[in-house]
Amino acid sequence: MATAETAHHEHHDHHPTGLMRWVTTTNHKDIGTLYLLFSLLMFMVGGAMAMVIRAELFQPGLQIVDPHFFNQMTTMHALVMIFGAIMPGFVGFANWMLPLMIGAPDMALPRLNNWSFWILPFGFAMLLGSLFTAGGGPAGGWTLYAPLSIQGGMSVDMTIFAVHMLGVSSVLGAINVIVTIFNMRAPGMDLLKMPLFVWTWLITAFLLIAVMPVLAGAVTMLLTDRHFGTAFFDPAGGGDPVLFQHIFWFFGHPEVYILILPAFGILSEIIPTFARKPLFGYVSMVLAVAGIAFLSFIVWAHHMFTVGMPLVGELFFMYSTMLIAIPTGVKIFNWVATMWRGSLTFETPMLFAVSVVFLFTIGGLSGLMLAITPADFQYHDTYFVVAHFHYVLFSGAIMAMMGGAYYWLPKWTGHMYDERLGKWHFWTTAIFFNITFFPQHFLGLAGMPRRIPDYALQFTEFNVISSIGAFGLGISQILFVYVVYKCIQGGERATQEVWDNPRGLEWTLPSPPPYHTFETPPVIK
Amino acid sequence: MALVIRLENADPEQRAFRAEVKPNRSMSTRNLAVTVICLTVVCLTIALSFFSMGLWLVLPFAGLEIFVVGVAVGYTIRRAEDGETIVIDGNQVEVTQRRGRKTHAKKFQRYWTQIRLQPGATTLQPSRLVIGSHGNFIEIGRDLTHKDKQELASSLRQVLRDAT
Repeated sequence: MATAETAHHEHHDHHPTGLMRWVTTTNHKDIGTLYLLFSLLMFMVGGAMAMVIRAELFQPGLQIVDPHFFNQMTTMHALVMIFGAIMPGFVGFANWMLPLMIGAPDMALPRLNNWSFWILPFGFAMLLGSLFTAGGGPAGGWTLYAPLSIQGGMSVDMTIFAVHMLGVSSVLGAINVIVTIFNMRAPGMDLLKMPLFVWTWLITAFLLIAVMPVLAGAVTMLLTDRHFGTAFFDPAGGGDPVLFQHIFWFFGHPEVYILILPAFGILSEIIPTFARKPLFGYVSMVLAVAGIAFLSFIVWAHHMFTVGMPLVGELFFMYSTMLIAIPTGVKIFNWVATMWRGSLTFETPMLFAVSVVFLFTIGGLSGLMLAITPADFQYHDTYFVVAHFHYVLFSGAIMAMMGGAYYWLPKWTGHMYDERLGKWHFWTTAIFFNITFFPQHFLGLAGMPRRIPDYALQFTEFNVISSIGAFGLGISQILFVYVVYKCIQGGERATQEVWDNPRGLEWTLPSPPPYHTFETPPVIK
Repeated sequence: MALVIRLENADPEQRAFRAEVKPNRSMSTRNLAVTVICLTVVCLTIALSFFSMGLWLVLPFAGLEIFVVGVAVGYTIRRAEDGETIVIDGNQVEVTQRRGRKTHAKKFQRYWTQIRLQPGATTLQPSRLVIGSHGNFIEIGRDLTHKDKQELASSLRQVLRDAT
């Protein structure tokens, strides 16, 4: 018996060109690129909204925007960053890297993949278009809490429709990821031989499948409350607004892990490469991710300790939330242990990875503080919460994505990025991020509420510092766009391995990889 | 589609030969079905819990999602059964092609059977590997890469030549 074993093929590399290439493409690399560029665009749009927020908060009083527009900006900033920047960003990484990492020629359902992406621009046109409706965009916060959202204008309907579209896109993407990973792994690639990035995405896809119908149901019930005379959440008709908070956070907390688990996967690829050691505790890493995913379903009410739950409920959600520290601690320990006595070098991806480990730990610890029910009564709806989730989502998810982008950019483009500018980008991002968000811990502890355009005079100094940091952080990201653009345009040729002896199938391919790869699956020994 | 070609020579004199061309599958149909069932149980448990609290609109979305998951996995399973079997035994060449639920079988006389690898009409079109005789040809290995088609053609020619 003979088995044809060919790693990749240089021929058949022809593909359509021009605009239609991108509209009709079913190639995972093209779709990955589209997702990543879309994510970058949304990151800049969401970032611009953050600049409006921080400009207004530069000093007390109302200077630049009116309170209603301020509320629209806080709402849209969150929606754009969560559904437009982070989620599509990770789907972009998944599209580019999953087939290359498991030795598959493409995603399992390529046409569905094309559709998943092209729903997004229309969804966001709908969402951002709501800003231009009479009465402005949605202003009740990204959580769309009832009864405020029931009372909003037409923009809320547009937001609900947009959320549906983005949800469909996410679910289709998740189905594709699951089928691809389960059914298209190269011969010999057992589940426990898969790279950790693949594992984290598999678990993320399961989370998406589990919670997206909950979000879809929740926002649809808001819609029926608004227009069809139901009273699920509308107290005027006997509905229960607290029930909306429960259903929203049943989706919302797993969503937090949907936003962070792929980041853990990226870190688990970067750190071993630059430590020149295999990942410490691979199996425990997989189990930790699965454990975090499971726990994410039983902690939702820690977002709403103050609504008046029974004591038993508060204790349950407090302890279950604290439990998450265990698998998260395992992961942090394993990353540190991977670096321990490694032959470390600190190229830009590694700088981002190390800073994520450090800064995410700060976010995790402030999360533990928030998990303590009586303490949460003090912190709830203050800037402490804002600081906490930005330490988790910016320095966790977004900085991990930036690290991942620097790590795989030479593979994607075939050119080395400008290392000097990359380091400049890292240091400015890391420094300005901390200048922006660390003082917000103190603001929150001192009692400054979140989502307000004005504040008491005693909060001025920390707000000034925070706003200066935010402007610096915003400008730093223009540097990132430039580095990416410059790398796409050209530069020093990247080798096949790019880095010093990295592990994984993607490094067995040329840089950039041919348009079609692994048409005949490689055999994993 | 990732494909695996398996060439089996049943006897050392190469009088009998079997080539199997089928997609690479890393999970059995049974395990994929189990995955869908697990997802269904999880989604329905969540949806029914909300249903019991009066939030019934989660249920139709969960049902719709499970339906889409089922269709996607079902499609994958069906496509995974696609393939071709080429058996050369005695004086006969038999090609069986499976696409979805359809199966086509074609038989040729071994002595007269020809293998042709035709280049694509344009650079964007793939090459075509055809097998047949007396003006009656069918395309095989449609999903293979050009290199794999070359390998398969070479193996088949070798066996047919040895037989003559």
